Amino acid sequence: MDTATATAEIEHGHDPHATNTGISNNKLAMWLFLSTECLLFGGLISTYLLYKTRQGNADVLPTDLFDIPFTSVSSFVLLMSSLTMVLALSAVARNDMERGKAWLVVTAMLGAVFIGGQVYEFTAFVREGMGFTSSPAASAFFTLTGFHGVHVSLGLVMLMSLWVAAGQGKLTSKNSETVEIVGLYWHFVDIVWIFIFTVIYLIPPA
Amino acid sequence: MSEATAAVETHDDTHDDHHPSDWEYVKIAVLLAAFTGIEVATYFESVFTIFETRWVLLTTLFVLMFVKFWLVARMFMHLKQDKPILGWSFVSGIALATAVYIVALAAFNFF
Amino acid sequence: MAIIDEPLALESGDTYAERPLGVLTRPQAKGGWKDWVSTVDHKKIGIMYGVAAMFFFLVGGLEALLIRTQLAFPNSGFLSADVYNQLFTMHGVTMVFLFVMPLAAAFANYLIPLQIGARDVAFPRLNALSFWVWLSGAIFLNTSWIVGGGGADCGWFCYSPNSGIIYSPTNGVDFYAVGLLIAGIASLVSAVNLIVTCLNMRAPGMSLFRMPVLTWMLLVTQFLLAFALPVITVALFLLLFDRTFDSQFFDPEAGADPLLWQHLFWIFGHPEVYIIILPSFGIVSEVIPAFSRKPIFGYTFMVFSGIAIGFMGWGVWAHHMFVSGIGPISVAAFSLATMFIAVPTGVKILNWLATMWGGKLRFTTAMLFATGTVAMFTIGGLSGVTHSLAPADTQQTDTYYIVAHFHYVIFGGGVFGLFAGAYFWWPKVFGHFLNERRGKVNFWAMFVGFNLTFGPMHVLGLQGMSRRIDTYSAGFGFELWNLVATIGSYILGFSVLYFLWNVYKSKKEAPNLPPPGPDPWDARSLEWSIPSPTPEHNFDEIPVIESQDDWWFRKYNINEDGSVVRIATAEEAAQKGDAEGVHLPSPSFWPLVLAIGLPLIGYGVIFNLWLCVAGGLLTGMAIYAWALEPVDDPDAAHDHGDHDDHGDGDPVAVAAGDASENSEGEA
Repeated sequence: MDTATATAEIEHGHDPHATNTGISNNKLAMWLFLSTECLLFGGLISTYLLYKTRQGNADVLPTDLFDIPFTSVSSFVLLMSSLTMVLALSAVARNDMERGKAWLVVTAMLGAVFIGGQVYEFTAFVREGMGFTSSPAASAFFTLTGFHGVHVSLGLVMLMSLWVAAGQGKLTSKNSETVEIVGLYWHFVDIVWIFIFTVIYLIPPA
Repeated sequence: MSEATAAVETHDDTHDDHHPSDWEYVKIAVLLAAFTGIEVATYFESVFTIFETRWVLLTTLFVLMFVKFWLVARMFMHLKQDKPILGWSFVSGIALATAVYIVALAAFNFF
Repeated sequence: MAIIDEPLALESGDTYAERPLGVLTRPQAKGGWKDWVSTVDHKKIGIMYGVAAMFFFLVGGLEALLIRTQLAFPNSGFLSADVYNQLFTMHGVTMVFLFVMPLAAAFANYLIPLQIGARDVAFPRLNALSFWVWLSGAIFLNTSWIVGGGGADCGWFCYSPNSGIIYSPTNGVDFYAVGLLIAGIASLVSAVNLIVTCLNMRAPGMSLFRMPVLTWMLLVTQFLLAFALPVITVALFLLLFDRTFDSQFFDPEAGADPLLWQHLFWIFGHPEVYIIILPSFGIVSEVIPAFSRKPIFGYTFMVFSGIAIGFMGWGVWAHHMFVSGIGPISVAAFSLATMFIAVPTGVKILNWLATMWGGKLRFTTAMLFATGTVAMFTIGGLSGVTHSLAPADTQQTDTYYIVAHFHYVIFGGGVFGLFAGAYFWWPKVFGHFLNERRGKVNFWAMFVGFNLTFGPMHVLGLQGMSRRIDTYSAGFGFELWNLVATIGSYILGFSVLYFLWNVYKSKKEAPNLPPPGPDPWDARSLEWSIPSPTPEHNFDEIPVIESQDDWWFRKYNINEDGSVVRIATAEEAAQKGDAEGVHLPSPSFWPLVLAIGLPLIGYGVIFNLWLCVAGGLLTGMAIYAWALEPVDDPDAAHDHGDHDDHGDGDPVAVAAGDASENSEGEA
């Protein structure tokens, strides 16, 4: 390889081929981080599964109060936000910043709707007699879904930061990998909800 | 700088070859929605009485859950187009978590 | 974030940006405290980890000496039971989380980039963040003594319901939970950082199976950290929620199960002990070959046994819970799994011995500590095998026999290995040797003190002395060995202080002694191919690797008849260290600022939620400032929209000013 090309390739920091794996450091780091999050959510899910019938001194269990149609809608909303996320990435990768920004906003809004749904659901549960401290089942349920909600909220912050950056012209097709990496996080959070929705909500008590 | 630009383009071109188009993403999303619909249908046992049988219910839910996860991971997260190490890294986390927590739950006589 | 910023085009001749965003400029300190506080250099970070770890070694050691003083005589009133509980808890927490782990991190940070032929880690600012976050967590944890009503008193494993508000009413346990959560963030970030470094930033020709055994063991350790820490994170949050917000995770009266804590803690806790020992195994795998003048015996087996240990370590955790009522099936399963894990460890012991066999042995202090590691770990491992038999463990558990076991493996194995590493790499890090004569005194004092302290505990345990009791009555026959152990512990304490004395004196004597040169031990891995102390830029030229032990083969050839012939001296073959214009990642204050926000949040959780807001704002602001601070690199103005941090080894990179290496990738 001649000097000029080598220099150019090195200076072009977007060249992941210079890493041993051919994957950029940032992307590899995000995937590793996501796989560690599996251990985190696995622990919270297992805690819930262990405690889901432990009513303690409370009148109700989470399974008594679930509103499946409502949660189905918010699950669907989050699922669709994965679509809009990937459309945002696709737009940014082709340098279509207007579409990219639009899809980012839509993704964030869908995420916000999901969070709104969670908040509504939680306040409804509290009104119906199940608070965070009511029973082991309740504590486990709120902790699991609360952690997920915090993750979604942090994702919202990242999405909006991307939107701002795009608005300032700092987001281009050359650093579209940043959008991809935020997208990985967002899809992961969606996958966790896919799991939670099935295992926690849809499986009825035996 | 043209060489750098050329390097970018070459890189991007090969990258884009395998990426699904926007329309394909939408089709996947429709599939995901459909699967979610079936999942929700299991709730209405009185209408879809087959789901009153627990093993049918559980199998349906777990299969659908896995398929949805697979679609999001493979297609939306681009694992299909990416180098295998990323998939392996993700799978190792999931596999470890699953194994360890199933054993833990078993120790609680959960099953 | 640098990854969404176009770096500023600088005026020609400028070497840094003039405050483009107000306060956000990159620090420029050269030397002095500002340099250390803003550094992102993996070597300086490694040194800071080491210094801080040694400080906490003294803290934990003081706690230990107080414990041993209390136990020297029966019916001792030297310490109250309450204080005693705090001491043994904090001793364990300090030694594990604030001494052994960060000291291993010191080696990992300093050596991994050097051993793989890189200029720094994948995410230099995140690396600094890990150190500052860990340090802030460590300090936070210890402020428990001052503002927390005392140290945590629940034991380092902090079982519930003892850890709840009723039985631990002071804030000690809260500081424990929050402090470990903070420190856990540090280790998790560091683990991801080092894994990406090992996978992505190796020099050309440095395939994974040409990496030194130390780097491999550290890589496995990082995977263990990455996967184990989230589990204890869950446990600590549940504990914190119970204590702070009255949730119902561990209250038996509410129908909760205290065993949940035990499972979650030990799912972390068992991989944790491999996290502790694998770095020392790696160090020993470097030191023994150097002083046997032979390559490590069975490199492939050493690598795979390390991986096997890492893997199997996930399947044995409930051997810490044999008497907790998990039932005979669980007990039998975990008992069997525990027996199996002795196999890969045994492979390593045999391979170290085989390395020494027939070698030209030279017992420097490092070698003494390394062979001591092997011997002491074998003893500890043998008692471990006796624990794996659940019926036997039923008698042993909660006695001093267990205390003996884990001190033999953690101290005799882990700490001895780290001291071996200190003596071995000291010349590389600091440019002078630790004095060998004093080193030998250090070793023998530590060896004698250690064995006198913990050897008798096997006997005490089997005679029935319980763990975690603040005193014992006369007439049980515990008096003699407790006194011996206490005397041993004072010898041990002396040996640690003597080590520090050696550090001090060696530094003072250094100007009058010849410099060690790049490769004083005639060793095999890449860090010995560059000057001592290591130049700031590590390598003048990223080497191209042609084999395992590539550096060795630049000094020696092996003839067809197997004889080794020198082809170059170390001084001839080593890099000179005089490269100019090598671009390094720019320093930053934001990791430190971010790190300060976390204990503020911690104090907020315990005392006043408004502090959480303050801490959260500080942390959030630091994250954005970090993301927005400019890339400080005159060459970066050329089309640098994204960046990957890598040393790709192309010699052209140096001439071009290493533009790519200036960039920083991080979250």
